[in-house]
Amino acid sequence: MDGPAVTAATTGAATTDVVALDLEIARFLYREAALLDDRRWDDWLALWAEDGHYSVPIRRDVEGDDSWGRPVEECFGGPGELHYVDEPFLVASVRVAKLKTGKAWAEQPPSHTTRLITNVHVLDDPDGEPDGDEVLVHSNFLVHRTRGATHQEQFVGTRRDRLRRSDDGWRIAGRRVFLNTSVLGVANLQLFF
Amino acid sequence: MSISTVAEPLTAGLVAEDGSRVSRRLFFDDAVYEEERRRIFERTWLFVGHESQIPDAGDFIASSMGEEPVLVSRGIDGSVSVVVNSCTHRGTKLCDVDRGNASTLTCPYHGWQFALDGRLLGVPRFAAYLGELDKSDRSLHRPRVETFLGLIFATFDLGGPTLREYLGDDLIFYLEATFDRDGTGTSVVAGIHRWHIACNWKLPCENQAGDLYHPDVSHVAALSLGGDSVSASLDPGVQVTTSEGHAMVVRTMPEGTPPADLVPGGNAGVDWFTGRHELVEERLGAERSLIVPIAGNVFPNFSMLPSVFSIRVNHPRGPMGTEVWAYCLVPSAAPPEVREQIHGYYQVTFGPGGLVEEEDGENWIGMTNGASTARTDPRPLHIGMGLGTEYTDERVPGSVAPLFTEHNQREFYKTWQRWMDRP
Repeated sequence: MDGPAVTAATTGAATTDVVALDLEIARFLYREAALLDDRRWDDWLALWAEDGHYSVPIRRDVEGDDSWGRPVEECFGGPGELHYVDEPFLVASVRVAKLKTGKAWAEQPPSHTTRLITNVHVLDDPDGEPDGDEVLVHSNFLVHRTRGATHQEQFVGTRRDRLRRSDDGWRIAGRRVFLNTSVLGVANLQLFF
Repeated sequence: MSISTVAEPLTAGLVAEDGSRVSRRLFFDDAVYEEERRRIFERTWLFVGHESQIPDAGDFIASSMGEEPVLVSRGIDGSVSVVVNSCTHRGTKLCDVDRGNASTLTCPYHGWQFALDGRLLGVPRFAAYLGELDKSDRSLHRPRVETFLGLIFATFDLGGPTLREYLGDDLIFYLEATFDRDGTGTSVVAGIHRWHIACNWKLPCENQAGDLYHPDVSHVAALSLGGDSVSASLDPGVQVTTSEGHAMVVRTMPEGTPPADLVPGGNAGVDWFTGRHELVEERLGAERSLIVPIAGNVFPNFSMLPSVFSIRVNHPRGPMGTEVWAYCLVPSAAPPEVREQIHGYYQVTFGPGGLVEEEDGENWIGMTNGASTARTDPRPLHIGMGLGTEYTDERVPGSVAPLFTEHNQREFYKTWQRWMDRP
């Protein structure tokens, strides 16, 4: 009997070029996370492509719709369904403008965050153009947030980023954030993943 | 023979008679909360879902009534059933998903099998019960269920008022203007915003009942990014509490207002809404078409924010916890592009990641913590703004008061006290 197919897709076998690309992307994502943790909003916004899109969909728990073997995207609400966030990157700059007023009381005094970014690797991209300037990237995250003496929260999930190569480094052209929980254990999502 | 004495409820007198003072104990006390579960959540009509979530026979959704998990489903005959999500054999939770389509529910522990309407259909090794088990006596617990304009409500009180009696004709006047404005009804967008706020459940309810005092302060950051102050955008608005203690905030526009100024909220779908004005006049009548609903709360915990196209339930989760379930409400007749605008407008402003709503939870957490940590202050909390300013107006049924009063909050807590005092 034939066993399951063992392919590069499951073992991660890769050439040194691909491994080098993974490391380059990881370095970019670590730097980006540090900008968010340090609340260097303008520097962070500058990492986005102008046509970028940011979304945080909601997990679906549907009878008979088991998720074994299904890509994570299919276990979350799609277009036309409610999202926590689903908007052009331009709205992110409005969110930053709100924080910078100093009167967004849920962030005044500001929270402290630490982002752990892991499992970074470039994925086969079914929608990508061969030799195009974009890559599809898998990364996992744990974001720990504290505010004041008592609030302690953590967010865990995975992301699918579309990164675009530009003359002066990578730009975020799309980010989808898949949180593990379907009921958020927090009072607000006033942060970026 | 035993002699029983009827003690005064331990919650007696926590709200002043005129509603202007409220004990801090309402917001953290375990004993008060236990009494609320019994006297409010086991007796009032509670919102459990929207008919558009279960369009087809066999569709079901998980919901809750107070803290009790329930399943809401559509039967083959089109009727809606609500059953408690707990096996009548040993109590196991029957179903752990949010929604689905099924013909039966099977307990994962010993395999008892139920119809969606709660009848016990099958018991593995039934013969081993030696005739001791009467299946007809082991149906799932069934609250009473009724629907109104697509809203599904249920109650554990099997002998109480009907849903229409509970809502009252004066609230129905506003509900029709909210949920069936153009005569073709409303639906919810798929998906629910669900998040847990470490606050007492009454705080979001009385806020959405019409606290217009807070936005210019709480939401100043979001409001400063664009648009009018709340006082300007809600003029001429009033607070209304109806005969059964439910709350609404509405704008009462003058005769001759152009239809474009009578749309529900923001600029989402404004042209489409404007074009439907004739239908609105036909459904509501010319006078009622001038009433634009902004916010409200059906006691105890079903809140409405029609100005941002949302309805939500503030489910109690202990005295210091609330799980908000917020839905986006759209007119059923809206074409896809209008639906998309409404959905986008709600999502960017409200919900846990909404530019406006992000600040609210923080306030309610602060109020809950404040009540519990500063419990030695003997003075009850102050809800006295505009006390005595209420009046009646035949255009707006109910007890009416100016926008910048705490009328609806006082009435919310008076309604709370009435339910707590009822034998």
